[in-house]
Amino acid sequence: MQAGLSTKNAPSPSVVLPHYAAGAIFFIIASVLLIFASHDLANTYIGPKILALTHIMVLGWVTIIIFGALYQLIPVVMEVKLFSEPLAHISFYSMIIGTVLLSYSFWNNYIGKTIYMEIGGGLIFLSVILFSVNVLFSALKTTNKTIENTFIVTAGGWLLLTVSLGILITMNLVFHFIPKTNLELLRIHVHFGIVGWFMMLIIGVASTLLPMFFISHKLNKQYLKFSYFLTNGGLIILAVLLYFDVNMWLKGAAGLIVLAGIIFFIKYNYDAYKKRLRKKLDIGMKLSVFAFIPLFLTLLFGILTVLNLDFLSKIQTSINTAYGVSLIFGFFTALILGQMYKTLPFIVWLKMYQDKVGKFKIPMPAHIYSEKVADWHYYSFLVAIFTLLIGIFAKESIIIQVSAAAFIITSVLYAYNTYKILFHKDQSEPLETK
Amino acid sequence: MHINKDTKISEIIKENIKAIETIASVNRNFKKLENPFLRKLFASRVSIKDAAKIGGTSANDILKKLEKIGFKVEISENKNELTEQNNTKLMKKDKVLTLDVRPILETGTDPYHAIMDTLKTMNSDETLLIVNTFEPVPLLNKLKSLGYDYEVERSDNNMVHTYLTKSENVEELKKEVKSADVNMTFEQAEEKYKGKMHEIDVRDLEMPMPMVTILQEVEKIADDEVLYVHHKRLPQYLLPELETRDWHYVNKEVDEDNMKFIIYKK
Repeated sequence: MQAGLSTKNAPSPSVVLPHYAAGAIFFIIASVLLIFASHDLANTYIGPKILALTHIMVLGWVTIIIFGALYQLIPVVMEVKLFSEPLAHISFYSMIIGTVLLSYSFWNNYIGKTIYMEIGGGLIFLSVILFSVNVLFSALKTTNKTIENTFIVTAGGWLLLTVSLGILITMNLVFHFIPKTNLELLRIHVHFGIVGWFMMLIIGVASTLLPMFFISHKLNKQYLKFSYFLTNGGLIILAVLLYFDVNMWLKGAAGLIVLAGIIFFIKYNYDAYKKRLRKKLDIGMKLSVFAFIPLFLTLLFGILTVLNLDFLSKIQTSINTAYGVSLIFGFFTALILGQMYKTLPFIVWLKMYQDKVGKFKIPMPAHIYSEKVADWHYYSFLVAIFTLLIGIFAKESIIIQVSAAAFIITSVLYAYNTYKILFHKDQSEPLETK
Repeated sequence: MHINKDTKISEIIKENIKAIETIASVNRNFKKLENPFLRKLFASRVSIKDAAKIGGTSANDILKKLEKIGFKVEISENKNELTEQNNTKLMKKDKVLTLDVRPILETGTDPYHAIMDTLKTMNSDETLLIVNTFEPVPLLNKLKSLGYDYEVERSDNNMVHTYLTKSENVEELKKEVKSADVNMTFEQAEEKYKGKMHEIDVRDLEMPMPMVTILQEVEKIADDEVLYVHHKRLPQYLLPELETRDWHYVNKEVDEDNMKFIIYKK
């Protein structure tokens, strides 16, 4: 275990911090666009504005922050140096430009072969490839093959598949070489992206971070292993069934296998929550714990989406929309809002004060952001997500606009704290002599 | 102030300075408390229970005396504290070195270093006999954690004989230390710094407190001391920082949630 430990594994903050800075901006943009997409969102789950909004949220907000957090986390949990920092920089900029171009193209209903979509999609593909290469090559060097790490590496593989399929779909619009409608392929694309990339990654990262911050010892890793085989196995079966469009009950069964896997993940983290030594939850953990409520809703709506039951046909569109919304605007967003407070202050603190610990009087990571502002956006976020779901089922764009207002408040307050942390100035003072 | 057998003597003295006189009156072993040096030496390290052991009396006797000067005491049920010896094993005493610490104490010096130095020079098959007027409880607690066995005998004339010897497996490791010094294993470091280890447990602290605690401690400990840390995992951010501050470490994984470190200055 000792070899190579003397090298400094942590990446340069210049790799990690811009991700948090950009993510906060994309979240504000998405919240503003939600106002304009409210009418579409009240009626359908697919359309130019919804596609644009989804990709800003999923790529600009969730993926960019996860990339940044992973560049910091991988060296810690895998006990290796990040494979390449320049690749991480290139990946970051190509993701930002790609997301802007692709979303712009979607928003203006430029489906098909346009220069924006081609360049945007290409840049996102490049970004993802560079990220996956970075993760896989870093992971190759590790001797620390825990199940959490396996989740993260597997997620990288699914992400490659998701983006490849996305490219394939846009190309198929022109060349029609796959004898399937794009809506069918889109379903597989969405499930690879949601279950394969995001869920897999979230399971790996959350199962690493949450027990660490709850401070829970002696957890049953077996649950995570079950979760790994069930989610991956279920997803492969589901993809095959979706492609051949076999009857809905079989698809439902495959969905249930994935669901069982996710339940094992929830069980693992629930145990960590129950066994926690730190009884009082700070704002970061309060948001992270709350995230599990939209996760339950996602599972419920997800199953109903796959089953497509006759007696629910009147609200089926709303269910499908709510499935994506509770996952992206609910679960992912809550988890990122919360985990930002557990990771970013620490990273900045480390850069600023690492060499001063014990020699100077220094603030702690929790002191470099405003707790009050975080509390406010916790409540505005609760209002935002529940109003959004109500608006979708009520099919009322005005309710969705109210939600958008709450999301704007949330994202601005969140960005305020993010930038307060990023621009934190050294506050060390000489130690008082006794 | 509420006190019981686990209350530290220093807390009691802080509350009421008259307690010194009172405890000293319990029996003549406690006269030492009137000496400010010895008081400093012991008061912060021992509780009433330990003090009773040192003085060869029961905790309840001390507590009853303290009750008279206004402390609210909690008398413990167990009447036979004196017979509560932790050691029932028979110790081999083939080669006994005797160290009478009474003259050292008379001069107002802490016999701790004399005892530790003697222990270091001893061969593994030897036993150290400490002659004193009380049982050196603070020292014994420390030595027990470092792998020493001890046995206490009380004689009629208020003399206390404390026998100290090492347990078997510790001895074997000591030989290894001599052959390999540069790349120490954890066990070798454990042996080398025996008695000079300052122990902290950071497993139940939230990030970044384990790192903060460890770095604060290394800034504080004495030159010849090392830090013994109970940690949950390999601290990725701490290790490079330790290196820039010229500290080295050895580690040993006990299980998934438990890793031991010895951090030392080269």
